[in-house]
Amino acid sequence: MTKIEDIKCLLSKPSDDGAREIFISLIKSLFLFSTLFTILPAQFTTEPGSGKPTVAILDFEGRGVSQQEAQTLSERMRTEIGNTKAVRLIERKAVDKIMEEQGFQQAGCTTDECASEVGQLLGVQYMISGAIGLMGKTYTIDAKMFSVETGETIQTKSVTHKGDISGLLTEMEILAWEIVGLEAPTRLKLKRTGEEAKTTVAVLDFEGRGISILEAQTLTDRFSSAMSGTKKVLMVERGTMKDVLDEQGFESGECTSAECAAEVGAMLGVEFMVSGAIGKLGDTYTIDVKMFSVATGAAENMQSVTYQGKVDGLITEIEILAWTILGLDPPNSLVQKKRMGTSAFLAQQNQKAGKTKMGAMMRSLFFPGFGQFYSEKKLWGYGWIAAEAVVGGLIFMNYSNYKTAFDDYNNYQTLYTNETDPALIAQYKAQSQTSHNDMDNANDALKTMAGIAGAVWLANAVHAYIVGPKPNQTALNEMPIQLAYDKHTDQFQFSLSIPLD
Amino acid sequence: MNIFFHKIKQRKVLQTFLSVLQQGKQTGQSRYKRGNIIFVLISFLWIFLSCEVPMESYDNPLDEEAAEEGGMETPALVFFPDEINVNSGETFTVSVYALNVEDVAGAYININYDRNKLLLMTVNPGTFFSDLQDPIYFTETENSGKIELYTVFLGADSTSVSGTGSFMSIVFSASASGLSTITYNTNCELVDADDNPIEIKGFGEGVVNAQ
Repeated sequence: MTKIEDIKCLLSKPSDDGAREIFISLIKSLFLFSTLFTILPAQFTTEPGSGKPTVAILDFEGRGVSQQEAQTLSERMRTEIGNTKAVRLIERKAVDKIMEEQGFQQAGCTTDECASEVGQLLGVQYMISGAIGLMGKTYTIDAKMFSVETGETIQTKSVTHKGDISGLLTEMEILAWEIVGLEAPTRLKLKRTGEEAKTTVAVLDFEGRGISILEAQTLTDRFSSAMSGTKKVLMVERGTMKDVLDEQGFESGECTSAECAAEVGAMLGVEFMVSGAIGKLGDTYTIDVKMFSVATGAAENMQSVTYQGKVDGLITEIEILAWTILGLDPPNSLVQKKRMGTSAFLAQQNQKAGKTKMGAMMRSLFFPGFGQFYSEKKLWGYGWIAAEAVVGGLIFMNYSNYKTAFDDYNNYQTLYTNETDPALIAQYKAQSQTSHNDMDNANDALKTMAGIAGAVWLANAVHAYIVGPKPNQTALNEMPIQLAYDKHTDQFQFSLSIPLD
Repeated sequence: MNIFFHKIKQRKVLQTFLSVLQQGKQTGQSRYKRGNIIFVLISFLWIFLSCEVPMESYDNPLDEEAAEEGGMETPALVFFPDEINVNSGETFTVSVYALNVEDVAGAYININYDRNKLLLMTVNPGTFFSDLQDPIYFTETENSGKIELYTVFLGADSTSVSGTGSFMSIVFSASASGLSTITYNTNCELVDADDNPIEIKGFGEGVVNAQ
């Protein structure tokens, strides 16, 4: 009752600032309401005067999870179902009160009959009940919504979740939307996949003053790309926005007013819109960018930049603006690019990133395989390291033999030199000679292996040079056709590059 | 004045050093390459030079094969050891050996040494004859740079020894530093049981290096 009163109060006394918000909320509510009734037309009947079906949620039964955990998760569903604005939720306290009066406990009320009885006492149209189970390391949630009047099951949903139990909180939030027949919002889906919920932004083509529409569009595209590059916002594709603008009968660049932008933003369902203008006065460019909330129409941020110089620098300014308009610090690379000038910056970057055949060879000379790793030929790199390791192992083995023979030789030499018994002299001499022969053989093998190691080393360096990065790799050498899948837009993207040089 | 010039010199050296460092910075890449090459060369040199096989050397004076290879024919009289390195004032022992002899029943050994550098301490009988029976044993040591030994088996049984063995061991003291030699006189004699002389074909030499 309190909520209904609040809403009535809000509707009866709309403030000037909140009028738009209320209007949008009503549109949204109507949209959700109509969706819900499209999906569940027969089952949902509204109470006279309220416009929303009444629903109560019983605490889910815990199977393998504690009742406290089940209660917490049920509470999360209650909170989130309120956000759907599709149903009128009966407070938990009211449910508890009724059950207390009837001598029930929520945890004990697990059957449909009990739930139905409670629902009738509460006077609600629908009840939601369910169970949360644990099988091995997998959690399961089974939820059901049924009509109190007919006992008919309206909607059932099952979810499985692997991982920590805290992940069930998000699942319950998503379930809250799905059990009433609505699609869960993107933020929750992103939350489920572990991605950060991002603000949605659409950028209108900047108005060109003193520059052509094409130039303004190009600069807008660069601004959008840079804003997308911040990874803090979700951008609306130009094509999607064009469709909306076309529907509204706007040509590109015509929708420059705040009202138009807000309208388009509302249709796109984004939180923020960005619009702006780029003017040219002689050699001086002025850029004015404004980001405002679609919901409130209030300007979130406004930035103005005056720039004098080559167009390259203007692009850098635009890129920096994409960060600052979001209240973010631009990355050092952009700041450096602004400071150094685009040409000098790119030259420096090329120098830094420029890989050469000689660089690969020198690295392989330093250590086998390093050049191949440097040239992204990892398999070859491992191969050369392995080859050198094998030869190195043989070298070590022969060195070990050499050392043993050397020690033996010295020992027998000492014995031979100090001995006075002719028989022992002859014996030690023979042993000494054998050790010397062993030492000789081990040394020969060692030299051979060292030669092989050297040859492998040199071969690896030559190979690194041959397979090293090709110099002056330009767009001509790159694959002209690229195909990629964008998971955010759930679309495949095709790119065809034609070098103009 | 000198200090002034010294300071200027120092400054010049410092400037030169700094300029070299500066050049090094400017040509860092070439230095890096040079460093690589040196590293590889040192690695290879280490591998090749670290395994040196010593020359075979068999110089035991009692080794018949080595003696013959060294040009000494047997039967021979040799010293063991034949090279002695001592500090001045220290004592050392040299044994007198008959090398590869047959049927020796008596011996006269005459040894010369440098009395200015070596001081004769004692003479002890060897084991060549004493293993069989007590021989007549007589030495003359006048500390005149000469030692004479007479040893012989007596009796009806013609007792004799063959092979390699020591007649006596001599204890010297290095009285002065320097190089000196101990040699056999060529009038040394070996005889069989019938008092027939046995030809001594080789005479060894002992070298004493006192420091």
